[in-house]
Amino acid sequence: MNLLTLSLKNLQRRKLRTGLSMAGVAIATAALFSLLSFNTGFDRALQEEMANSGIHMMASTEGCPMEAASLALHGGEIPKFLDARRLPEIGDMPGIRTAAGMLIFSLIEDEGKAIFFYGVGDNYRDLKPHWKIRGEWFTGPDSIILGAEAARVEKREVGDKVYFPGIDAEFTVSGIVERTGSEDDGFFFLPLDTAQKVFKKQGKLTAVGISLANVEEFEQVKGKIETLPDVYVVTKDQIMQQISSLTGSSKTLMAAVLVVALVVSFLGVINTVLMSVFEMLREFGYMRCIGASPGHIFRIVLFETLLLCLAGGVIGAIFGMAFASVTDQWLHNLLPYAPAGRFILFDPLIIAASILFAALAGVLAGIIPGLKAAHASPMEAVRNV
Amino acid sequence: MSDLITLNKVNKTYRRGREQVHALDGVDLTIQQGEFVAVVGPSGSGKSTLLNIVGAMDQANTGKVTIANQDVTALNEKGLTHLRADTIGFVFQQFFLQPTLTARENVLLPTLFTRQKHLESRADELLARVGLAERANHLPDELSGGEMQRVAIARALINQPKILLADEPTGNLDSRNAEAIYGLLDELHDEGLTIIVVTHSEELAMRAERRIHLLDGCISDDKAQGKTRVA
Repeated sequence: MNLLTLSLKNLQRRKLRTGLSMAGVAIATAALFSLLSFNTGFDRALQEEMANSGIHMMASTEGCPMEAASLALHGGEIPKFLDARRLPEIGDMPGIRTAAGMLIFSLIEDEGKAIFFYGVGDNYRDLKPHWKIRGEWFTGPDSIILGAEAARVEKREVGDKVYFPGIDAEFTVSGIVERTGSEDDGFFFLPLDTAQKVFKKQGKLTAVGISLANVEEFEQVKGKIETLPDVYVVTKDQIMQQISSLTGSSKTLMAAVLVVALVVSFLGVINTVLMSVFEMLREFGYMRCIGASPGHIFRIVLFETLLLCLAGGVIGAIFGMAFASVTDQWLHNLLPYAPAGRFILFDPLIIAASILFAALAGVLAGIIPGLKAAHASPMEAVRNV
Repeated sequence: MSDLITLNKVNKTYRRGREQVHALDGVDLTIQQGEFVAVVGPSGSGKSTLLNIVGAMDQANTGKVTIANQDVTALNEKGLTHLRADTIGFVFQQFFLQPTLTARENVLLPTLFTRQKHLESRADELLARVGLAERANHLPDELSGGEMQRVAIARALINQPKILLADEPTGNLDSRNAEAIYGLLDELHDEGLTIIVVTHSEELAMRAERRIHLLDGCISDDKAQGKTRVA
């Protein structure tokens, strides 16, 4: 038996109270783990998506090209359009591997929900090499490809027909894109010509996604494209920056919630241990009688909070990992733009940091109750009441 | 027999609201090694204060206190802690057993705070000595009041103290269990242990070889009784 086992046994004395405090620490640690993972995972996933997409830059018309680019990625209707004649001009420029035109329109359904239509050409597939399509690419002008979530909501399978009263048009589902975890899951993809016709925007494009044959020629190609009338270019880095700023407020909000969770949990631990200390003051006083120094008593209490927070931290990290996919899904739904791929991955460093943080909080939380207990008076303890 | 505890003109006052209370008023007292002393007196007479000072839990305002050749009045908090750990065994009315520790673990508890380690076999011997060898692995709530007090006595003896200080050790016990504790204290006294008992129990006071009566912070009577230690 040593001081640590004594602390452990003290914790076991009030199982419900200890369990609830531990649960509080576990929740806070799981939240911390998720936020730390998200912060690194989001940037990694964004970079991967941009790298996978092969988009090096996007061209759109005057106005706010940055907004156009980010909206083109995460869905949104832009009132200004690029002349579709620019598409072959860009595509024919030396150094360009793919130039894919897009026309984006939204349709508000009766329930107030927006449906995003993407009119895309065949070469759009080159920008989405990671797509796995169940069924086929467009089979004709009246075919449609659904994102996985769109197919689930509309309850449609390959070969089914889908009618949109807002535009009075019916399409046949030629393919369904398997779940990517990105905004693509919720989109409806139409052949570019069909989209231009349906939305009465013949000869118009929202943007052109461009991938380069050789990224070293980046500046030269960008300069050339910008010589075209009314064409503005946004680079991949600028798009990523724009997306990061879009998600910045969400990150701040989540961090604020996390801080509140951590503070509440921290105070909860102090409260639990302080209550236990008040209940045990006479016992600590008696221990002082039989030779315990204030340092011994302080350590007993400190070990209690450390064990409480360490156990809570380990449980929290395990739960954080176990529910990573649920958290991922929630974050994908919450954020204004979420790249494909998982944000929360097994990262020993983040797990260690989360548990270490919980342990550190335990040590800090133990200071006040520890000092209180260390000053327990042996005389008060032995006074007959 | 040598002097083990000496109090020389010891005064202890404390404040109770605006009132100044003279808990001990010029007390002179010498207790020799191996004595069995009962301290008696009405409530408020200074018994608890005397217990605190003899137990090195409190310091006198004036006067000199010597325990086992150590000038207690000159000791700091650390020195008092060591003195309590190494020289004095405490037994109280409330037992103060740790509810999550077995009887054996409770007996070993003081060793967590001292340099004396690996006293497991001594703990077993002491539990056998107080008749609880079979109950060593039981938790306090599985023991009777008398058994808990016997565990507390075994715990008080684990560090081989020179003095056993008992404050109303039978206060929470029925007569049968109290009798068992009296017998145990008698045995320990016969083996040479210095025992100081603060009690209201006339029956227990009668077992001591010396009775000190306190009244208003002063020793009003100090007399030897019939019982003496078996040589």
